[in-house]
Amino acid sequence: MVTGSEREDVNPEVVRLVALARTGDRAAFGRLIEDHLPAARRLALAAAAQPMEADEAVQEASVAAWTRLHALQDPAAFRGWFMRIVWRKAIDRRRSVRAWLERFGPSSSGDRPMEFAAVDPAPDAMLISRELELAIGQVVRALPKKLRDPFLLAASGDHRYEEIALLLGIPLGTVKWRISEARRMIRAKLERLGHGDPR
Amino acid sequence: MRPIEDRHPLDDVIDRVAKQLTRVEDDPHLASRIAASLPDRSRSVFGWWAPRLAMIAVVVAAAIVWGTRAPRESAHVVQPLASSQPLATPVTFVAAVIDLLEPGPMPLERVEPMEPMEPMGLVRAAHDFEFSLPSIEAVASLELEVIAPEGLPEDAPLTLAPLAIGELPMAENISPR
Repeated sequence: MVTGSEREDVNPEVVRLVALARTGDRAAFGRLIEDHLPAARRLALAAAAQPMEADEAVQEASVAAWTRLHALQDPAAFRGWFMRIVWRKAIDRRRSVRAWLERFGPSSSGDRPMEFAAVDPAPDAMLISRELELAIGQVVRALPKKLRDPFLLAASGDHRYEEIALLLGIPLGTVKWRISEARRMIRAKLERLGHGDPR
Repeated sequence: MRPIEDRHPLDDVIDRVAKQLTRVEDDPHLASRIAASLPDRSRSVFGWWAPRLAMIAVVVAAAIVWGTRAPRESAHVVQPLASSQPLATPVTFVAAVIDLLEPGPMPLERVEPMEPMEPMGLVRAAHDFEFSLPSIEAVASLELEVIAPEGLPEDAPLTLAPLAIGELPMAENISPR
């Protein structure tokens, strides 16, 4: 059930596309998915941790949204509704521990960060040592899921705290506390590893 | 976001790395792959309802079949019980049982009514089975001589005369036959 509190800013184009998609317009639904695809992929990656698994989760979520589009009561709330489907699909994939172990398990996580190799080094990023990047990546991976999920969702920049609370099904205050606690734990571990001050 | 003055020197680096952890590469073909994998809307809607309709149809059909069969079976079985009034004669009872057990066209040999039988005790009392033999006369009473106790000696012990055994024939004189 989509309530008024989670209703997003009404986008007339989204409402129009949802109405068309409900009539079976595949092109309209494709437009909807395409508009939300980058955020959906980042969201799935925060949970599934592997880009391939994340894309699979997004594809499954898209098919599920297509078949259940009649259940969406408020077309303006499509984004939050679709993101929740993506999150559940990604969590389902994470629970098949294999993908997680392949990426974060002891055999593969020792010397390789997540996807840092694909990141174009910004000028200021050049100042950060490679060792510190690896350390932060490992510390973030080692966080409990309760802390890691809201922390990564917030770090993706796609979701407000209210949206994260709806995605995870927890109160807003809990989201804020968990993000703050995750940051505190990361700092504490980095300081113990000798990375107290990056300057 | 926290105020800048409260931020730890590591926070910027942490945020940057965390953002990179959720960074995805552009995939221009993903949207088209997703669109190609979408099932047909009409078929999916039908597929959503088809199992339910099939189950409802099965339940309704079973209810109809059961409803049409139940009265016949109950009439076949319950009717005699419901109308089980005391039967007047055994013949009526037998005929009623035959009618119940034989609803089909196969004929059964009808049971002829039997004449009532008299009690066996009365028959035995009236007739003798061996009419060809004379009646058995009563056995004459046995008459025993009265043993006179005075015929026995009073004090003398009871003695028996020695047995006299004659000479027995030899074995060789006996014919083997």
